Amino acid sequence: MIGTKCHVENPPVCTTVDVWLHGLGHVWGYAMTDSTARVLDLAGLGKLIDALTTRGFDVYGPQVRDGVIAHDLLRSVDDLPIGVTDEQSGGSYRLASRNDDARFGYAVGPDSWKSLLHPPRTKVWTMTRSATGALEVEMAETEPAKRAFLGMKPCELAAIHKQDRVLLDAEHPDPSYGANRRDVFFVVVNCGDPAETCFCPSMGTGPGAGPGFDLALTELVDGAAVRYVAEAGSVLGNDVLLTIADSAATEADITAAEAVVTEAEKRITRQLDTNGIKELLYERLDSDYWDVVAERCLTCGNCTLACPTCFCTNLEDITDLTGEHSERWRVWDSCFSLDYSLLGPAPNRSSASSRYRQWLTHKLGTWIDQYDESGCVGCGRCITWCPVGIDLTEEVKALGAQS
Amino acid sequence: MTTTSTTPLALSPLLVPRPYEVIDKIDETPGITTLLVTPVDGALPDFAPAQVSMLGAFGVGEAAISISSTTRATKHHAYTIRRAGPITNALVDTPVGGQITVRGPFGNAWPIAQSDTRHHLVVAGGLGIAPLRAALDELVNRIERFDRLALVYGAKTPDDLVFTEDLADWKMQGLELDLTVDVGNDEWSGGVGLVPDRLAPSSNASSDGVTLDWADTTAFVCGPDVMMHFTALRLIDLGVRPERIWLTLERNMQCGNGLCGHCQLGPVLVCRDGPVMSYADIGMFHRVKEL
Repeated sequence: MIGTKCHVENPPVCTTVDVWLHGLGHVWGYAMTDSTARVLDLAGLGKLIDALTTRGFDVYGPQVRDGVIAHDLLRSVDDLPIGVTDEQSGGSYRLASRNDDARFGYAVGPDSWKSLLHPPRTKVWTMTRSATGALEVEMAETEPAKRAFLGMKPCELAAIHKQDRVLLDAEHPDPSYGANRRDVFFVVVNCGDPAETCFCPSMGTGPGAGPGFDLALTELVDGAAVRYVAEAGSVLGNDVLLTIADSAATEADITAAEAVVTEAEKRITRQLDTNGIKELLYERLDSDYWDVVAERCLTCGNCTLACPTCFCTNLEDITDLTGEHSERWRVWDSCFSLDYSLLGPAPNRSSASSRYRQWLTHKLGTWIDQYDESGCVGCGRCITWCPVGIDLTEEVKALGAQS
Repeated sequence: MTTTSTTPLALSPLLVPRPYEVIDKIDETPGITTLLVTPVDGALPDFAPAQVSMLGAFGVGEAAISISSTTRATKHHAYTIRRAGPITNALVDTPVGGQITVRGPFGNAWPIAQSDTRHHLVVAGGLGIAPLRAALDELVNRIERFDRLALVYGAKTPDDLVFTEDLADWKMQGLELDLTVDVGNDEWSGGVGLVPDRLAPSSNASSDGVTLDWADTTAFVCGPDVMMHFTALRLIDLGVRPERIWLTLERNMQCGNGLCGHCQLGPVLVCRDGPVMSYADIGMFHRVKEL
């Protein structure tokens, strides 16, 4: 359940953000006529891209860019990373070759899909001042974008649902995020290749996909051959699937697909004990241990940029040289920046320890009070992309060991 | 022109800055000015005491400022602003007849109607009096509800006290007024010292300062964090129940809609959940330095 409010008047009856978000063909959770799992080969995957394109979606998918797996417009299956995996550990990420032709044989790169839904820079309004000093405000256009995200990992879908709760299930929802978010078609690929930094089972977000996708694929790799077991999670997903795949998955296919996820889960050893974690963090607000972390933390904010749920933004005004036009831009902000906590002329959180405490306590503790769930999906990006390899799961353990 | 027609979610008016005209300016003290503003088009929105707006200066930015007029003023809102940086300077420097933008009002209100104790205390530190002005006006207007209504108001010097005409007016209507300053002058006859030190035990009725039946008192407190912290601790020490101590919180408010994350204080988003919170709810977070 995401929301309780809805501002759409047509279609006429609309009670939750879920229904709004999925109301235009994306409804999931009601009976579908033919939702049997199906099998796609590589050509079938190509047909999926074509079918989505024909339906008006700009299809985005993972691609190798600048030495990492990033997301970009996908024209064909040949754009996908072929036979590539990622090796991740605290402060380290590199791509490596696989001994097969898997297209989705890696965990997650530094870019999360939030770059597309909640972009780093968004214009909010333009303001004009006349010669008499009169002000006129023009809000920025928020045209709905019709995009398909192909190849997202289950933790990334979970992250989008967390941002939905923050930015849409609000008394005054974010119109820009709403426009970007409304028509997204989600093609999740169940995770068969978690990184050493992953801990999604602790957060309940993977390696198998939770609800909210239009299509979920599981990649079955046999050397150079790849096949995909596909299941629909929405009416639209089912419609699309029926047009591209006519062969139902066999019992053996489904068993193999399930094994991909169960084997992946077995390989994930990193854990975060979430039992009572909010209470633990609240009890440790005064702990000296934050100073110990701060000896390592550079307060660079990389973790907040890489995190797929971090949503904080700063509002910046710029003026042109005539002095008659002003623009307001919303840009990603980080709780590690000093300006973030300005209270009057000075920052409230001037010490590094207070800023690390804010980030960790918000992500894993106060988020639960604010949004009834954790702010973490266990994707491990904050560990990988921390220049000094600070590992939040280890820091929570250390805090737990403090008295 | 707004583009709500293409926006899938209705655009909240609170996200859209609205031009307001400055109709008057009152210099309260050197450095503190009250702007009286009214919308260029359309009606003045209602507000509740303690609510905050985002005031925008063209090309400079927005600052969160409490409404300092009373709810009886229906032609304008007042914002009492201290010069603290480029934005507040630009706001204060807007000439009469010039325009600023306003988004809001945001946030919740002082629980004036819910106050069911015989005694009621208001504590203001510095410009913390601004968001209390409408509350004081409403409290004084219903003063018969209380056996005693008291205000402790502290400032740096006698010259830093604002709303002095209101103070005299409220006092005439029965408000017990206790003023205190850090540094007095030759004419100063009020207290000298910190606000919490003006609050005295019930057993010591002859002492300087304010003595109420603390077990039957509700308190509204607004001022700098450190002042609110020690005032709340003092009140609890005297016997006021934590759920009857109400603070109005200040954090780096930007969007005003709970979307930008800046105004967090522990689990609270000040613009969404506050600014008024009971000490019972926020004390364990408010007491923590740099939280």
